[in-house]
Amino acid sequence: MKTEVLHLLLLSAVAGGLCSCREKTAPAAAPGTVSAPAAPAETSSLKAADTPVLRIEPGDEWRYKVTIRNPKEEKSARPVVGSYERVRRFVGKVDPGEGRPPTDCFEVFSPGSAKMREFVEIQPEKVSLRGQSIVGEDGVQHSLIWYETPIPFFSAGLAGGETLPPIRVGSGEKNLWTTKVIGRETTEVAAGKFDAVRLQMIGVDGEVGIRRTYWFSPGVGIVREETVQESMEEVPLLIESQELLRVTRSGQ
Amino acid sequence: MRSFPWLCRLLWVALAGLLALSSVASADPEMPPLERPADGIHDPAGMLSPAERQRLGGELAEWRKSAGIDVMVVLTKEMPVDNPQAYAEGLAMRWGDAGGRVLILHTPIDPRSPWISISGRVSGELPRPVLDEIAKTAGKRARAAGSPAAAVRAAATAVADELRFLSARAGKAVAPPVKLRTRDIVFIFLRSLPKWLFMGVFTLMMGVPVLIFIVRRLHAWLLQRWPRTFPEVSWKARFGAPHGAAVITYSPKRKQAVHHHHNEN
Repeated sequence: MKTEVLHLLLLSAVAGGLCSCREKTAPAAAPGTVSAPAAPAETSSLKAADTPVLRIEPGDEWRYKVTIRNPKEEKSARPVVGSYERVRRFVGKVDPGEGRPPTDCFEVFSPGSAKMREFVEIQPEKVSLRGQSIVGEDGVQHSLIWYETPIPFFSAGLAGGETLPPIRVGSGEKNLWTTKVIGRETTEVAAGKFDAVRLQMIGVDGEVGIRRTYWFSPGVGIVREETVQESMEEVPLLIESQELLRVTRSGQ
Repeated sequence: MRSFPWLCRLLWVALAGLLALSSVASADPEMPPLERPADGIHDPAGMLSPAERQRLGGELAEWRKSAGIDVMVVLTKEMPVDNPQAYAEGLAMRWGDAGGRVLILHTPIDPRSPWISISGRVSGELPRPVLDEIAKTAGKRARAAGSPAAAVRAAATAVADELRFLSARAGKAVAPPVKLRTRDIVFIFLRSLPKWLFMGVFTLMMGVPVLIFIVRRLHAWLLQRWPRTFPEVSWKARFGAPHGAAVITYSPKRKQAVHHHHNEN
């Protein structure tokens, strides 16, 4: 019995020693550094699942239904509502002009409006905005707006509670644009159900505040968007909503 | 009671009247039901069209599923109570989940509307002034919206967005990654094992010797001949008429101690 009791005590001591959390001071370069971060492991699996954030070929086309609401039109005092279709087509690398390097470009078509070009940087793990311009009827590009610092638009692995780096557009404190990640959710639009990341970009354009909420589905792109322009007193002036109708790939 | 039959009749009439009133109250379609509406929306006057209700209900369900924020909406033509904020809070307690409970009570004709209650676990995660500011912003956006549907949707979206963002950020703040530093090779090896293997090894190391010890002691005890012993006591069963018994014998050391104690007293 004595032998068995001793055996039991010995094993208990060893097991207790293994389970206790011991932290010894050690130089950073010492071998045997074991890290057990739970949050970074989860983020890295999200990042892997999101990559590439945009599967895209020249000629791919996204068709959206756009609805415009004017909550309180001054003349009629009744909200004005209108809707139309907007097409965004990826045309590959385009020279923005003014000495800028060729950049990935989307051409945006809306009835009754001039064709616009949106310049973006598309990488496997992120999408950033670089600028925009207008294309006249003669095909000449003008009114280029170029962001010297790319504006982060989407990154792989984003989770709720995170924020993208803030961007200053122009001068002054008011021109700081911030983007926060609300969370991941499933959203249903005319084109179907998509697992998307909901982000909210807030900034000021002159005397108008802009609150842009967009749903970005990794691999697909923007599936839904709502932009609210509001006065400095936070009274909504114009609400533009768009939802994806269909995606047409160039090979189809 | 026999002396006052009129009193009995009066009591019965009063009771019947009370029952009738309570049934009228429960039949009032404006009164919220006791159970939470399935889609989280109580709109007895039909201020939301079926499409608007379906769209809003889908969003409420998605927030509840993906973020644990339970947003409920009540639309009424008139406000039946004096303290709408307390009314909203009571409804939220009655209907909502324990996680994040949000109830938006909207009476379109009342300029003070909507009243927004935020409670549940989120009220422990976020300071009250922050929650009040969220409710204030949501109320402002609802009042700036046009239709009742747009108003409740604006309020619900504003609250849900902020709560989801701040709760997720608060969750990250309390769970920082843990770093362990050690030079022990055995410890490093065991930590490198898959979790299931590590737990299996640990269970074997702890459990098997304990089991073996118990089994061996039990086996030895069962094999023991009579009399059986335990530190200072031995006993032997006696089977037979008129009844069974046990003979208990103390060890000499114990007998001496008892005798000594008896002599002293």
